[in-house]
Amino acid sequence: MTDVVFFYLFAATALLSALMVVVARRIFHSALWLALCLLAVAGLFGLLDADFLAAAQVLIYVGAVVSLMLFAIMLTQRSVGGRLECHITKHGVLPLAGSLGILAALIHLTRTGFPSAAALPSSPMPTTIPIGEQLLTTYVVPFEVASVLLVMAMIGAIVLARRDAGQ
Amino acid sequence: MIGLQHYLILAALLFAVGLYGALTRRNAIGILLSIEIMLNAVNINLVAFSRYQPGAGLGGQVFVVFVITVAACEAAVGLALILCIFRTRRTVEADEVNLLKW
Repeated sequence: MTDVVFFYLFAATALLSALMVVVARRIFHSALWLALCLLAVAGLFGLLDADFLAAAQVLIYVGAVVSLMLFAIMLTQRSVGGRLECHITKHGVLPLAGSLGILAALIHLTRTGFPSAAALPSSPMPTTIPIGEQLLTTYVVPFEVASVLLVMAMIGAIVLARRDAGQ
Repeated sequence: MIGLQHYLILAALLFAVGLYGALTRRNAIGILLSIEIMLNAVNINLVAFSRYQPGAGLGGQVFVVFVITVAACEAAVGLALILCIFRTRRTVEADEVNLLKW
């Protein structure tokens, strides 16, 4: 019973804050709403018995990515004579129709036969050890590729964001 | 009782909201924020499938680890590019960055 209550609490929080991310006039407020949305998604991960992912979501997304976004927003605001607000485009009908179409297609896809909640299999609750083992055995090649990708992104970000990058 | 379909429909709604934001936001950082929402919708789907499919194991959760890694890379490089554009063009509005457009 409590998981039903918590599911709807987290789901409503995630949806409402995602809507606020999209419609908020100030981009800074958008980023703060995104932090709330990501926290609600971390709660959903907790409900799905993914304890490691819930912690990683809070640490990486809310802790690192959102603060990175906030720094970038503060660095790119024009303080004198600039527009601090960011507007939605005028021609908003076509994107609305497109995303509603995608939504209808996705919800139609969920109506095909997936197992019901009655057949919920048990899961290993502390998932950190199995995830770590699988990362170093079954998924060791993607793991190494991901580490190379991280190094590349780090070097690329440093090179791009340097002051004298244009010289 | 909360079933798999609840999570799938929630993820579909989040994805549609993120897609709408990515299509309508003019600020380039706003587009990045919307893309993060879409990635999170996909993550919910992956975790829900790995939880509800019998015998699925933890493959879905390992995939979410990789998605989070790639999203962090994307945010870092994307924001560095936006800073670069802001230095040369003094704007981050996606409509005004049209040098390669004719």
